[in-house]
Parts: sequence; C-alpha cells; structure tokens
Amino acid sequence: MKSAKSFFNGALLRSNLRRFWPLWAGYALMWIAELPLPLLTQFLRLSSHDLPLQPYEALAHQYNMLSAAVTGGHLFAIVFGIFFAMAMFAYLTNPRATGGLHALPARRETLYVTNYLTGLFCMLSAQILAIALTGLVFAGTGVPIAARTLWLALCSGALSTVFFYSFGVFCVMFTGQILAAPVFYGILNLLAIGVEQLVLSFVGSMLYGYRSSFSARLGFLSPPYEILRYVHADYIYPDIDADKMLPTGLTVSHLGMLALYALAGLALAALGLAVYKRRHSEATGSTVAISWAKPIFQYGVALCSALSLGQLLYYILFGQYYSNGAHSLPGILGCTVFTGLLGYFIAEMLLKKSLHVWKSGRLGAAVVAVALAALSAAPSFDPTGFERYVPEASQIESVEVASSSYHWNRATFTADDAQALELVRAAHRSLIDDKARQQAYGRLDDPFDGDIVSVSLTYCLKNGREVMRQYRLYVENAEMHGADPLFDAMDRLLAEPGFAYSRVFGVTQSEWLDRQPYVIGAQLLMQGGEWREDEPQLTAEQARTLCDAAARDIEAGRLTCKFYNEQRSDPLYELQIYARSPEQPGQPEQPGQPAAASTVRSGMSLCVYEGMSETLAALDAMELN
Amino acid sequence: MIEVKELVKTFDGFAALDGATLTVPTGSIYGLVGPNGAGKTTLLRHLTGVYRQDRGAIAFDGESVWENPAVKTRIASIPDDWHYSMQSTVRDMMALYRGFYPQFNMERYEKLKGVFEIPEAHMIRRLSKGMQKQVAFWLAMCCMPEYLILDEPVDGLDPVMRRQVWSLILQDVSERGTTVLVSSHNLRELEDVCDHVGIMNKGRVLLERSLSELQDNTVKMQVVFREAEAPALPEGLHVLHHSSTGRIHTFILRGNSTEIQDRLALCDPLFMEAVPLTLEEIFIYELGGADYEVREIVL
Repeated sequence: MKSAKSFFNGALLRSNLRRFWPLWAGYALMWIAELPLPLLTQFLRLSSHDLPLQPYEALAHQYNMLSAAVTGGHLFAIVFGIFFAMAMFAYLTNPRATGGLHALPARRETLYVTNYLTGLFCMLSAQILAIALTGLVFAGTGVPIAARTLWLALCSGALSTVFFYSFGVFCVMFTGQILAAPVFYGILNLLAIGVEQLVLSFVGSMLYGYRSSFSARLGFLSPPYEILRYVHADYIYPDIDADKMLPTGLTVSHLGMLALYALAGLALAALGLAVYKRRHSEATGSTVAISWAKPIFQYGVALCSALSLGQLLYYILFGQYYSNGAHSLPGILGCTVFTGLLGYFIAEMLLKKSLHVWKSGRLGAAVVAVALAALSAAPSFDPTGFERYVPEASQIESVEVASSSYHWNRATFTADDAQALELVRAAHRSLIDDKARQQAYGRLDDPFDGDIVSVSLTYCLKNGREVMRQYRLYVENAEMHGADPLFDAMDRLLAEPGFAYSRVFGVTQSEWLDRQPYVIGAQLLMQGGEWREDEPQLTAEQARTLCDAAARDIEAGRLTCKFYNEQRSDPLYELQIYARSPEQPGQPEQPGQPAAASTVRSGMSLCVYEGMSETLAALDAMELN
Repeated sequence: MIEVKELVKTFDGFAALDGATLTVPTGSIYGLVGPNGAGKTTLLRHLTGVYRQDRGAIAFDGESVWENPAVKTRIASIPDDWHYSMQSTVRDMMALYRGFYPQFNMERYEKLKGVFEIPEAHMIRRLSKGMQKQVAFWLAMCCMPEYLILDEPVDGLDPVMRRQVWSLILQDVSERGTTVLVSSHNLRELEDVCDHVGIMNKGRVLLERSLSELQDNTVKMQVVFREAEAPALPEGLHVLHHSSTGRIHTFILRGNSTEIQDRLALCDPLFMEAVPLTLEEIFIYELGGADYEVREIVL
C-alpha cells in the first residue's frame, strides 16, 4: 500500500532550524543593522535638537526607511537567496548526507517542501522582525510613520525574497557541487543581458556603421538588473496643477512587476521539485546533476566562452588596431573557435571529473568548432544587408543627426520635412559609399593628421522601429583641397540651421522655440574664452536680448557648421540660461531683477562664436564684451 | 520477505548491478558477502530507497520501497557511512528519527541509554567512530524496524560491543521476527549469526542458500591414495579446488557428502575424511570458480 502524500515534516523543519540558526540569526542581524538600528541612532540625535519635525521631514524619514528596505531587500535577497538555498539543500552535495536523508521514510516531496519552507521561513521571519522593530523605533521616538509604508517595505522585501530564494533553490537542484550552485545562480541571473551585450559587441565589431544600442530587450530574464532598475521607493506627488509640489505620500514603483517575479519564483520552486524528483541520489558530487542539462551546460559554456573570452582575446591580439567595422576575419575565427573549444573541454572535464577528455569530447568539439566558425564568420559577410541599408523617405517619420569632432562640440539636428530627410539620406548614402576609405583609415597605425568626425543617425520609422547607425570618419587635412562627394554631402547637411541652434543653445531648434518664452535669467560662465569665477547673473531682459540676437545671427547664416575645420572652434562666451517650466506657477517675474535662486534650470546654454555679430554687439551694449 | 528480481543499475556505463536477484525470508538473518566492488552497497542502497534501479524490482512483502514511506517506516538501516548533521547531538538525531518513525520507542531508547553509555548531549562528530556506530545502532533499534539493513555494521566496534550489538539484534529477531540483511566481510562473524547467505560478484548474486544447505552442498575431503599422484577421479564429481601436501590430497567438491564419499571410494584410497567447511572457505572456493581467487604472486 502506498502512503498518502505528505509535503511537510515538522521534525525535519525543527532539525533544520537547530542546524542553521547561526545563519538565520546572522541574516536577522543584518536586517536590523540595515533598518531599525541606523534609524534609532538618527532619531535619537534628532530628538536632542529639540526642534519640532515638519511634515515633509517626517515623510523624508519614511522615504529613507522605505528606500533602504526596498533596495536593501533586493540586495539581501539576491545574495542570501542562494546562501539559504545552499544551506537547506546542502545534503544534495554530500553523498553520505544524501543517502541519510533519502533513506528516511519520507517522499522526495516532503523533504523538498520542508527544506524549501525552512529557508523561506528563516529569510522572511528575519525581515518581519526588522520591519517590526523599525515600526517600534518610529513609534518610540515619536517620528510618525504610516502603517502603509511599513507594509510596502515588507511586501517589497518578501516578494524579492520569494523570487531570489526560489531561483536559488531551482539552481541548486541542478548541481551536486556546493560551489557550483552560486556560480550557476550568478550566471543565470545575468545571462540574458550578458549574452545580449556580448552578441551586440561581437556583431558590432564587424559591421560598418554599427551603433551599439543595448536595449536590454531580454532584461526581464535578468531579474537583478530588472528589479534593481525599476523597483524602488518613490514619492507620490499631487496633481500637477495643485498649489504646491511637495509629495503627499510614498509608494514602491513597479511592485506589480515584483509580484510577477515572486509568482515566477513559486513556479520555479515547483519546477525545482519536479527536477528533484527525477534527480538521482548518485548525482551527488556531479557538477551537473541532471542528465538532460549536461549538454546544455557544455555547449552553453562553449558559446559563452567564445563570446566573452573570444572577444577579449581578439581585442588584445587584433581588435584594438581596427575600427569602423574593419576586422580580421581569420583573427575572429581563430579566437572564437579556440576559446569556444577551451570552454567546451573545460565543461567536459567538470562533467567527467577527469582531465582526460579528448577521446570522449572530440566529436562534440568538432561540432562546436564548425558551429562557432559559421556563427563568427556570418556577420562579416553582412547577410542581412545591414551596412547598405538606408530607409526609404516614405518610411521615415523623423531622423536625428548628431555630429561632433575634435574641432567642434557635439551638435544635433532632427529632420522631419522632405527636403531635410533627403539631405540626411544623401549624406547617409555617401557615408556608406565611403566605407572602403574609412575602413582603410581604421587600420592605420601611423599618426593621423586631420580631424575625426563622429556622425550618428537615428531614424524613427513610421512603423515604430528605430534604425541607428554610427560612423567614425577620418578627415585628413591633405584630402581637403579636392572635391569629395562625402564632404560635399556632409557640408550640405551641416548647413541646416538646426545644427547651429544646437551648437549655440545646446538644445534642438524645437526645444529652443518651446522654452524661449519662459526665459527668466542667465548667468555668465565664460567671457572672451576665459571662465569667470564670479559668474555674474543677468536679468531676464538681458537674457532675452542676447537669446534673440543669437537667433537672428543663426537665421542670417552667420554661424555655419562645416564638416571640415582646420582649427578648433571654441565659443568666446558661454552663458547658462534659466527658464521656468511652463507648468510651474513660480514667483512673479520682477523686472530688472536677477532670476530667483529657486528658478528651475532650463538645460539651455548660450554659446557665442566668432561671427555672431549681433550677439557680440548686444554683449557690448551690456558692457560684457 | 524481501524480494529482489533482476536488478540492474549502471553508473556512467558501468553496471554496478547486473541482474541481481535474491530473496530474504521473513525472520531470517541474511548475510550478503562478496568481493570489493561486487555491488553489495549499491544493492543495499536500493533496498533503503536511496537509489532508483534502472531495471528490475524490489519488494518488501510485495510492496515497492521506492518513494513509499509506508514501507520505509518498517525499515531501519545502518549504512557503512552513517549520516548525522555536523552540529547534532544524540538527542537531536533521536528527535529527527522520532519525527520520521511513528513507532519510535522512547522506552527502548531510555533502556538502551544504559547499554551504550554515550552522553546524549555530546555532539556526534566529536565521538569516536565506534561510538558513532553505537549511536546508529541505538537509534535504529528504537525505530522498532521489521527490516534491518546493515552494511558492515560492527566495523569499528570493540569485541564486547560487537557481542552486545549482535545479541540485541538476535533478541529482536527472536522476539519480534525482525528480518535482517547484513553485508560484511567478516565471514567468521556472519557464520555465527546468519542463517542464510548470498554471495555476490560483479553485480550478480552467484548463489544464495541457507547456511546449513551451503555447508551441506560443499565438502572438503582429505584423501590419501595408494600412489603419490591422485588418480583420475570418477565421473560426476564437481571439484572446486584441489591441492596436495605430501601424499595428502585436499579436494573441495560441490555435492552431497555421502555421495561424494561413495564415489571417491571407487578410487580405493588408503584414507579418506570429510572435513567441515567454514563460510570463508566456501566464499573463497565459490568465487574461485567465478574467476576470483587468491593468486600466487612472487614478488
């Protein structure tokens, strides 16, 4: 007769708690050191000042606590999730312990669930204790705290714990080596973004015009990255049209996402149980304990090794001497295949627990070598037509062009009308046609006499896609005297007034037009090419006069951007422009007075170059020239 | 009754068990013997539900042991490398066993405390190997098992404690009908306590019989013939081993003692005597037939 299923054994739970109480206590102490203890010392010092606490100060204290609880909770869960998982299932890495536990009259479910719950109980109870003590610290020192804030702190930490601990347990199920568990856990936690980054940089090193664009599309598969990025404490602000901008409460952003991760953690815990039930006791001591996972591990190690070590080796031996997509194909093939095979055989050694793996692994090694050679070589031949692709004008919503060089600062321009778009496309085609020359420069080791211009294009297509390209163009002084289709096309593009607005105001033309009515002051940072230490303030009238004069200079074509400049073009004057936000009520403007200290900075500047005659005359009139 | 049928278990292509079959009658003390690497420990780990077989079947009174706590509560085992957690005391381990074995007998635990005289509050890892073994026996006996699976059980125990432990086991067998399966290399000791013996080699059980059957079925004959050389023996005699010292020939033969003596009498020997065989001799000669024998090595 088969016994009824039981998922829990109290004796095992008590035995686990007796064994692991130091870890449990240590974890609780860390939480106490993170939350209630610093708050207690801080509040005791505050109380000695004997000043009444303002409401926004009380909220700030709550915010600090919540922020520490949320971010600290994530970090504790990430680090200790695997520690507790390793402790609870350490018996699976010791043959004697495996035999001892598995000989007891209990099903695998009972052992798994009891051990899983013990770890979860230790982690959550430590957290609950710390949050409860935090509440007591607030209450005891008279600093008000909303129960909701404590609840949010607890929820965030608990959800994070459920996910990372469950994921740790899941990882432990796949290995019989105690030290392999944290390695698997760490790698799997960051695998998605790591591989994405490696693939992008690998492909980018072989394609002309490639612009690195780490999007973290698979970031959700790298939970620490995603959770630390999105889930944090936040203030709740009133509606924008309210009288004041002080926050009214606290929240934790993306708590729903964290809850989904916790659910995924529970699913992983269930999968872990399924894996445990299929796992053989004799797998104890094996690097990979589940037979179907062994080839995944071995070929995965080979691929990751090729992508990471292969690129590093290629960069050291070849890559640092190339740019603009120029590359050594034999070098890439050699480095990726060599490091891929290295990873493959190291994985084979770990699986077989032997150094003599040539015979058993040579067939797989051949597969790895061929596959890696094919994958490495493919981008070099640009099978997707990436390098020559220029979007059709009808497909483009807008395109942002950014350019900078040693001789002039970065300037951007957004084209969205047909004429400007055609200019951009013509310049783009010229850039593509110039590939051979630019790649040849990219291989030169000799000192280069000229300017290096960076051009980046970001097309926003009507279907929502983005097409991004980046070129690093070598402009040699000696070549400038003859006609050149690339230089002509670039000059025509850079003659667009948008570039001039960007160079002068540091924002795009449309941004300038949006903010110009709200200018309420300025501060002179540089005069005659020298930085001013006193940085005098200008009135709103002065600031507007200068801005208007600069705009007229631009429209009159007195400031031109050239693709090639023999000398560096630095501004003669630089001013920080203040503008209030259109939504912000702010203080009424006082004619003739400098901008108030509370004025919001606009992000705009005013750079005055040689040739901007009206602006220079205005500065003269203000006796600033 | 424990029944093992055609059990197969391979580790990385190596067959540790290769169709092992054995039957342990209820209430018997079954000695499992075999050379190193024969598969004894692997077999015992299957019987305690630690390993899952690739093929074959294991049944305790007809029920499978794998993932079957109802059967496993009736089994107590003492493996060669008994497990205890690093920080635990005897009392901690008792609490753990008590939580898993519903029939754990505290009265017996208290009584045996006087027998083993091990301080309960001591950490087990600080005890000597022999004392750890005593703890394992102490707890196993308190589980009131119907089946006791032992792997090198008295290894590390002093002679007095060995007798003490065997006496406790025998008492359980006689009073409660406990079935004992014991694997050991100490054949002299097994001979004293076992009533059934199975011999394993290369993952298979070569033979299994009651000890008396086994001893009846193998005969050691010391014979002096008229000539110095032994004559051709009559047809039908199954000689496992032959050696001679001067004119005295020693034959190990398989078969019934009376029948063998009748046949040897046809050779008209000057002297002929049947000598009882020890389990160790049976083991050595049986395995000699299976290509596992003591080789003459000149260093």
